[in-house]
Amino acid sequence: MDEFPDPEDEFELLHAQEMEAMREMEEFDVEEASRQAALIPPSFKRSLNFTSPTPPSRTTTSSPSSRTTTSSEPSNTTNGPPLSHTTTSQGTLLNDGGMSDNGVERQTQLGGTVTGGRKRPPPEDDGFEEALDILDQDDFATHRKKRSRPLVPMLGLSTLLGGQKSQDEQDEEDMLLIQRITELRNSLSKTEQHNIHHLDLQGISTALVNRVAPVAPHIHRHIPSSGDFQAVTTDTGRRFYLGRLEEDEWDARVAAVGARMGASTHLAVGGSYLQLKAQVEREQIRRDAQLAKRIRDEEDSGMESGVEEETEERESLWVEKFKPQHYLDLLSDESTNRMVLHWLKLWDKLVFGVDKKPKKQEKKKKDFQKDKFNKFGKKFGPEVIEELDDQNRPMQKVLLLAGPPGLGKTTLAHVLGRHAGYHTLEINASNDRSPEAFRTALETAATMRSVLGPSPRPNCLVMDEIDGAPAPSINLLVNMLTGKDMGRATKKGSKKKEATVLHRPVICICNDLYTPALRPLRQIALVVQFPPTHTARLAQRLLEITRKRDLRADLSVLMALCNKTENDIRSCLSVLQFVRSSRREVRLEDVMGAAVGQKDHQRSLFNMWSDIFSIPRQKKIRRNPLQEPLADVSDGTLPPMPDLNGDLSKVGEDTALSYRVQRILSTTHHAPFDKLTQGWFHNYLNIKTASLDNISRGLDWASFTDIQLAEVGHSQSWSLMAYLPYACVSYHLLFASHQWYKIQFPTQMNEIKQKQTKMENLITAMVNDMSPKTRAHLNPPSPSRMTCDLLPFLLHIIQPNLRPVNTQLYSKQERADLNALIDTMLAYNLTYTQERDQNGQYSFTLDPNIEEVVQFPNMKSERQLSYPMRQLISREVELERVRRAEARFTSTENETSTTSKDKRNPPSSKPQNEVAATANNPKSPLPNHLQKLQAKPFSKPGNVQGAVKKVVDGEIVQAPRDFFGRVIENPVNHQVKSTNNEIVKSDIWFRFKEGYSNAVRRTIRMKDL
Amino acid sequence: MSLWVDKHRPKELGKLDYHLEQAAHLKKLVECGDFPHLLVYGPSGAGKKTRIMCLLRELYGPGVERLRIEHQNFQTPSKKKLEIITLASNYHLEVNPSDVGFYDRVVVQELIKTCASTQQLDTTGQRHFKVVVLTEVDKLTKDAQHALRRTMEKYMATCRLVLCANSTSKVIPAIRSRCLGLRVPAPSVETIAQILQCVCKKEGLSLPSELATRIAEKSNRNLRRAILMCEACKVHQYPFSPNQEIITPDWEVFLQDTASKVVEEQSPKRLLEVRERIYELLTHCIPPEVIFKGLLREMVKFCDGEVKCEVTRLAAYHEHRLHLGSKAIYHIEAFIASFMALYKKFLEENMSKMF
Repeated sequence: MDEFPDPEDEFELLHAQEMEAMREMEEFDVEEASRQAALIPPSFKRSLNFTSPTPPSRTTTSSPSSRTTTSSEPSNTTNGPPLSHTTTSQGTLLNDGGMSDNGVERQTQLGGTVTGGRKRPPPEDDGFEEALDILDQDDFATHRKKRSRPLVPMLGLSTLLGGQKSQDEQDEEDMLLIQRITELRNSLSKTEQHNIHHLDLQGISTALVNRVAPVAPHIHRHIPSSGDFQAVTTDTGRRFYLGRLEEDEWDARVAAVGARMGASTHLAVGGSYLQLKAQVEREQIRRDAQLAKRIRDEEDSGMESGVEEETEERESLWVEKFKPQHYLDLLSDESTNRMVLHWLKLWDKLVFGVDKKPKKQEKKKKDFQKDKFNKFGKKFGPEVIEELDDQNRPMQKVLLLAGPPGLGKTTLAHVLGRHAGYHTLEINASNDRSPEAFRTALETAATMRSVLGPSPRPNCLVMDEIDGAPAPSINLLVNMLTGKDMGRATKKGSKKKEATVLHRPVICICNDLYTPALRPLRQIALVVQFPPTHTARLAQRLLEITRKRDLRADLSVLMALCNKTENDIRSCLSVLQFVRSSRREVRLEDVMGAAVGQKDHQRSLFNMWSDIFSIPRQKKIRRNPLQEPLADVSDGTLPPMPDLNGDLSKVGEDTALSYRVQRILSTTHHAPFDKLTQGWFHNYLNIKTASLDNISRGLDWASFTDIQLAEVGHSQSWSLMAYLPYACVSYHLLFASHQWYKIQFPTQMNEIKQKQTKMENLITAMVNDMSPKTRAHLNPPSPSRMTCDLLPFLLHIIQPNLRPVNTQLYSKQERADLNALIDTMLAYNLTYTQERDQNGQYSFTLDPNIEEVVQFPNMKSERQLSYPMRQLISREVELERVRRAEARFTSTENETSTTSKDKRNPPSSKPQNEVAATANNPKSPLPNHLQKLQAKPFSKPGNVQGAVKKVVDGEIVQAPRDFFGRVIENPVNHQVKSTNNEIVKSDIWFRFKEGYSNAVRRTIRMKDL
Repeated sequence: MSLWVDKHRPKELGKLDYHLEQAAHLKKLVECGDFPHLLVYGPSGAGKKTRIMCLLRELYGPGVERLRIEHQNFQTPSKKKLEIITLASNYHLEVNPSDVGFYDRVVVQELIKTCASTQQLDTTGQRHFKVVVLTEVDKLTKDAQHALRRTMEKYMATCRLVLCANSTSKVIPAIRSRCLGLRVPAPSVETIAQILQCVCKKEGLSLPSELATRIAEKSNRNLRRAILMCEACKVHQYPFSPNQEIITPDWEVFLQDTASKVVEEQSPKRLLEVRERIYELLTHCIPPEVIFKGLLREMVKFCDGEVKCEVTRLAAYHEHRLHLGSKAIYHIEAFIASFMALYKKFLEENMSKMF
């Protein structure tokens, strides 16, 4: 590189000295420059040369309208400033102008002609422009008086070169323009010649233009490679970069030109050069200002010639700009900050491997504040558990910051993370937060560290807006934090087992701490509720900012702003910036008028209830200046109340009746009236002072509200809602007192509703399975009718006096009673089921438990059947049910099964083979249980009298044979056969054991029961 | 089927015990082969449903008594799935559309239409039409009733509707005019006592006539309740004694207690207690109208002539509002509170007069 410098470098080397000088000049007095810049739009003040030779640039045509107007004074504004001390320095200046990209072209121009730049007619057409240049070059030696001549060839050329503008109209326009320009120039040159002593700017500039090489153009389409520049965007969206010249450089150039002019022309006639120069400058400034004004009018801020400050402001929001960078900048509550930091520091042992004691000393050196905190750690942060677990992690694995928006939670997390030596990694709602994404984020955060930056730091994960994350993600986070995530990790491979336990601090941030999804996280986290920022502190900070931003603001105004936004820093700053963009002063009206902080202005139900039940105290309301505007707002939305409006304006005494009415109306006009009324209903009887008249009046309102709501719900006529707040007003007027009552949330009504539904379900369950005949006469079988009429008596009837003895000992009458009872119970789908109560005792309860429906608390208890009786009834009911089912089954089965019966049950003479065959034959319609029996053929034949099943089994498979191989006919078999047939007919099968053990067994048929 | 109510229910028009003239009319109606839509109304326990079933039997024979329960599914226009249980025989269909509450219109539109628009296949059966029995017509929403009126006309050829209601006041006139009204009044006390005697005779029991009358009086002329009471009494104590205790349902006792609590003391505190009790009643599925009635009946006992009127007016006023609104507790409590206020004033005036 040293040996072979590329052309650019070479150039730089060559002109190193000059460039350095330039840079020095640029650095010189920036303030002065900017001050001037404020006065004069730079684009006009600075030399503008629209020559951009090589590419036929459309840029120059972009604002033709402006240029056509300026063309009356063709050269002074559009041409570059007079240039250069000597011809040798021309190159330098050019490069300074930043035109290195098309330097060659310029060189030719420069070399070729001095008048190259002069030809700056409104360049309607680049081809045309170029043509002009070429023409110029052709006859650059000729005097300008001959200018008018090349018109015809120019036209020709323009049509040739600028093919795209072949329309006649265009040409004519061009021609006209050119003509005008040349005329003007001619006249100018005449004035110059004749009144040289009467030098004016036009003259000078034309002269300059004529004699001096075209200045290095200061408008670029790309960011200039060197030198200062100012970005400007036109209304068409194009961006230019204006090269900047320092004031004194400008002076120098002017002086140089002046000197030359003085030398070559008769300039030195009148006054000193300096006077002239001042004059010219003044003139120029005046014109520039005029021009600027005109153009601004025309283009309507299309060409942003704005002040530097404004563009800067646009670039960054104040919220970003004035974000706290360090711990000491934090606005949030100090103890909260410390608690968070303390928790972060607990990770030091694990993350940095620093033991606690040395860390303390280190901290002492580093930060006095922290040390103080450590000393009073217990006092300030009682919630932070200092112990570390076996992995050196703090007991509370995660920090959960909760609080309303705009208090600086995210900022706090970031600042403290940095402060504690971490690299903060943020995951917020804009990221994908599926469990998988969470996992990767967590794992990367835990295992990797950033390699960029001066010192690689371990990560600290900040999970913003976690209350919006899906519950599985949060569960995953919790699992990883607690190290329970082993199941999955082992599946993946034991390698990952280590990675799933987080070794880095995680800070979660949420607005709503009580989102259901956060429940698991809350239990393991150190929950820090973010207290609101102190109004005074915030206002002080806002004041600093306004000072910095040159915005006049009163501390009281800022306080009001803070109050209004409820100390939301973000919205405060936004309001201020908004005001600043139009004015330099914040007034109280601005703050009051701004639509900030009201949108989310929601009052909780409890607030409303307490408003209703309490008479406001004077002091409290005076402190809040927002109350009055609020009342005004509400007044607009509600039906007019003329008598109250008058009073409101002169409300000095806040306890005035009208004011109270307005207040209630305004607080409740968007309330959920249903809940509001419920809450009132739930609580109003606690007001001891209320008279019965008032109560009945209030209840009248409540029932009126209920009717209204029902009507609104039914007919969807929402306009009725407008009248609902008045009920609240009447509640307030009837029941408000100065005394404070604890307001409870109205849960009772919901509980009642639930209980009622439960009862109804019980009855419906009963009704639904009732026998159709019974059901037909329950007219109608609605729960309410049942409870009124039928059930109470039914409950009595099904609990008759029965002797608690074995049913077989019952007399005929008793037997009939029992049967009737069983019949009733079956008809109404009732039975007793065994249940175990809390004490572990068994009891039989009705199922469905209509006792619950019928019986009321604190009534004399009903006569209840004893446990054995219930057991007995339960059994009987079951048996009867089975019997009926069987009866129904056999009655339907009889017709169908008689045909198949014979096949299925072979005669006993040829027992086993047949049965086996039929069993194996898939076509035979054997009942399921028979087929099953077939499957296990081994069983003792002698075991006959026990269970029917076994008998069948043994008989079929291994009939005993005598010595000669003949089948021994077992007399029992015949018996069994007969039962067998009957049993086989039905799907239901019973094995009944009487007694308490299996010792005595005997076969019992259903019909005997 | 062994509750006396069910066991001794008459199954044929000829065996009805009371309103015999009406039964005869019905019989004639059936005999002439066709009959219009019917609207059967009357207080509960008067025998509406019994009469309807008898009528159906008269129409179709004993096949009507082979009932089955069917679960029908519907979808509302808003894609809500509904299930309603119907009771059907081969000849008729019984629905209680108010089971599905707000969506009863769908039931009327879908179920009844599909049922009514199909012809009876088995024309060898006695009738060429089917019968749809709708219960609790007075609880139908206006929409459903309007849906019904067109159906009634349109499917006259294939279907007869028998509507069953407690009162016609909530049935729209359009429907009332399309039906033959059939009022089934509650039986008189004497009739009830007679029937009770009859039932007991069938059961082989002897019922003292005093007890029969007492039960009949206690039952509020509700025959079903009377028979149930009688059976409960029998279960409780048999042989009967003329002045044995008649079992009253818990909720009635509870309601009476509540009313007497209101009369006892008038204060916000008492109101709170009473509220708990009202809640208790409501959770036990006691309809708010019944609560109103029960309260009024008790309260009026303690009032003088003029106050009596006023209390009744209050009860009527609040009961009406109850029907307009949706949350019963507000209205009941409003009634109780206004009664308390009224009664307290009345007591104070009386006291001042005394001294």
